Amino acid sequence: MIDDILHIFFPRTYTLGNGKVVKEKFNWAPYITIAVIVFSILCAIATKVDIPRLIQRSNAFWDLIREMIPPNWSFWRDLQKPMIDTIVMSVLGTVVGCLIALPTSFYLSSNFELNNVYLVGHRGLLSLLRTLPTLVYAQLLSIVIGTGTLAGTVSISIFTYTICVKMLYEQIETVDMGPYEALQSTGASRAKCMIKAIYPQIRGYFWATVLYCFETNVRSAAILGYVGAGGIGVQINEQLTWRRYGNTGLMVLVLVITVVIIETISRELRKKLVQG
Amino acid sequence: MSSKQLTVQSQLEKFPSVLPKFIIGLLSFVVFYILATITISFKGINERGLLIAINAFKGLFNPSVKIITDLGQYGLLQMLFETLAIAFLGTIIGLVFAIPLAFLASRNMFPKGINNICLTLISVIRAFPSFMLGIMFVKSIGPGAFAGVLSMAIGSIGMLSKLIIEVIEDLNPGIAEALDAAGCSTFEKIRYGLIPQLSSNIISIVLYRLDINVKNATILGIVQAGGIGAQLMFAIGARRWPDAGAMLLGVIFMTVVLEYFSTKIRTRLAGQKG
Amino acid sequence: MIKFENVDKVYANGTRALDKVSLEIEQGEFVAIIGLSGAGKSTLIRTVNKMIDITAGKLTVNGIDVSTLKGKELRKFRRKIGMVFQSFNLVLRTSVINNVLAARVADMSLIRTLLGLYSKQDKIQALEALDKVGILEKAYSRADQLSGGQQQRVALARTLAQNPEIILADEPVAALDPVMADVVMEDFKRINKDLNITVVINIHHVDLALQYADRIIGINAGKIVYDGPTKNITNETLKMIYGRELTEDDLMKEKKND
Repeated sequence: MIDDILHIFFPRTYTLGNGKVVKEKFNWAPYITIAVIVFSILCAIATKVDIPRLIQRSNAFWDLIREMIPPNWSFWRDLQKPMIDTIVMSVLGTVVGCLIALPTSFYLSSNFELNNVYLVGHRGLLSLLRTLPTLVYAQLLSIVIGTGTLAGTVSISIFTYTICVKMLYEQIETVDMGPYEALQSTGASRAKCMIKAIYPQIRGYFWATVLYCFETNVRSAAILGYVGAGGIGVQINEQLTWRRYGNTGLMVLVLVITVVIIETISRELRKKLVQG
Repeated sequence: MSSKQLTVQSQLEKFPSVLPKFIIGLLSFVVFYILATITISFKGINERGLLIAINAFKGLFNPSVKIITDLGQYGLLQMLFETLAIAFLGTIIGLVFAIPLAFLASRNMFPKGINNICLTLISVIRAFPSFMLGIMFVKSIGPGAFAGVLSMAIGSIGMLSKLIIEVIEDLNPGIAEALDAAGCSTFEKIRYGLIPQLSSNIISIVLYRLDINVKNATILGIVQAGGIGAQLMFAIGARRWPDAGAMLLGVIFMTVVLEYFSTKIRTRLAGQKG
Repeated sequence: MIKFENVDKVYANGTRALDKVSLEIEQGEFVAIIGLSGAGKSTLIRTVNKMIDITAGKLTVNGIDVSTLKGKELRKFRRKIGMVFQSFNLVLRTSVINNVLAARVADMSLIRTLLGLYSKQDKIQALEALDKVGILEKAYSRADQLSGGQQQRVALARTLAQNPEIILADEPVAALDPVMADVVMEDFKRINKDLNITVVINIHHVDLALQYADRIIGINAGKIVYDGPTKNITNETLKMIYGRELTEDDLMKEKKND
């Protein structure tokens, strides 16, 4: 028994009949499991996980949910404009971000940009910017530009740009450079060669990326209002503060339905696009 | 000769017109323009905004050294660790629920009826805005990191399950058969057949979700569910630019480091497969 | 007229690809360059339109010194020289006609290139080019639906749409089967004779070179070891060019002889 337990942690060495010595490969699994458990406990302490409190207050949680059902249908009228705002912000932000990303991604691919220092530096900067959630941009922009949907749209554009450009330049680097070379030999400028020889190869992927960014953006756009950047987020903040859970329930329902619809449409479209 | 000329001419007429694309382009442009004017009002960049922007710039690039070096409760390290802890714990707890759910929803493990129920459940959970979940937990269980952990846990179940289902359905049945033929018990089949195939994939998936959750944990802070998010938003709101700068730096640093290691481990795992 | 005067090409790693190359090719000639792989054939061809730079000597095309060309002048220069590649280099996802029209964008504005607004004249030229290589009926098919031989003819049509004075071909038939290779070589021959376009072909299938070219240039280790009419080639000269006896790989036909 004890031997079995020890076996899990320490690899055995076997001596075969012909004298060969075989050592079992070191098994990471048990050590990792222990490390994970220990770290989880540390985290639990740090986040003040309080199981008794959870059980006590769980009633409050279910009460809250119960108040959200049935949702307050009459609230729909007040939700329409914010909902439209949210979706429009996502659409415009996605389109602007991706349209700017398309040409610039060429100059970030190693096939075209031969200056390595510039390439690494620029990409590095973009990956730093990519780590910031849209919400942070939204808050900063709403202070500078003023609250409202413009701040939201711009933050979505910036965030979309950083993601889209990376996906695009990674794709561009896998492309067949043959047609590009052929077009160069006809005397076309670099830009024209990119348009005619490279873009057709990534076109499907580009539109799939646009749809993917749109999906992601709709979710984050819903939150932006919380910091004053327009959309349904404003309402979320208000209604919850005033404990109007019936209204909150409606918002949840509307958001869930919207996201499901958009994701389904996007998934179907993307399947078709990547094929062609 | 004339028949050849006719062919070139007739092919010329068959040339696809650019008109439809042109119309679509124009129409989209008009639609976007209308939408933009409906929803967005550009009041112009006023002087105040510009002033704020300049101050912000100066402050953000002069991060507060005090916060960075403070190892206590209000220090950067503590805030970052709390954020990381929320993300980590949330992911692990989410995983605990996601694995059985994923098995139930896999076509090669359980019958179709159970599959569909679970898949619907997963879809609904996924679509639920995690942001609101955070607020709800804060309202009921009280503000703080604990609420964050819970919302993160539930929020992760969705994506984790979906990805794990893909892995399970990809499993190679041949290995189970081979082990059966060698006379293994169910426990041994699971240990030597199932787990090796799944584990590296699941670790990859967990790391992927962990990255995302760390970013989300920052956002959750805004609704006071713990983590650096709350402090960051307060600092920005109060125009404490050096403080905000320090925190942004911390967030960027932590995210980049995590992404780096997670990518490295994931590529190594992918290389070891098969 | 293409004129090489003591041209050298030494790569950064020290490889000497061209060694004191001197030759003249008049307008309208059909020249085949033969030699071992790595002997310098590819390099020689690509110096003509400056896809590769020379490191010494003087290279002029119709009086223009190629090494002084850059930017806009280089692009203008290249418009008159067409190039055909071994791997066809078509944009497979789009139609045949779009591939051929791509040759016209060098003369179009950026906006029109972006929007794909070709003039009627462009379209007619492209269609006529396709007609000249005999695949007019495939004009609207997607490029990847064509066989290898057909794709190469599209590539040839693409160069024709440039109205070139010179066509350079780098192993144009190496990826084709013997039947299609003949068809494509016939196309080159016909274009050379009918339109008086200079054709310079790199080819490692000796039998095809001898069959179609008027003049053979043999390269060995970057040096020109033979330069003269096809009819003067003997087995001895071939051995000198290749440095060894010819093998089956050097021939396109008679490959499957039993």
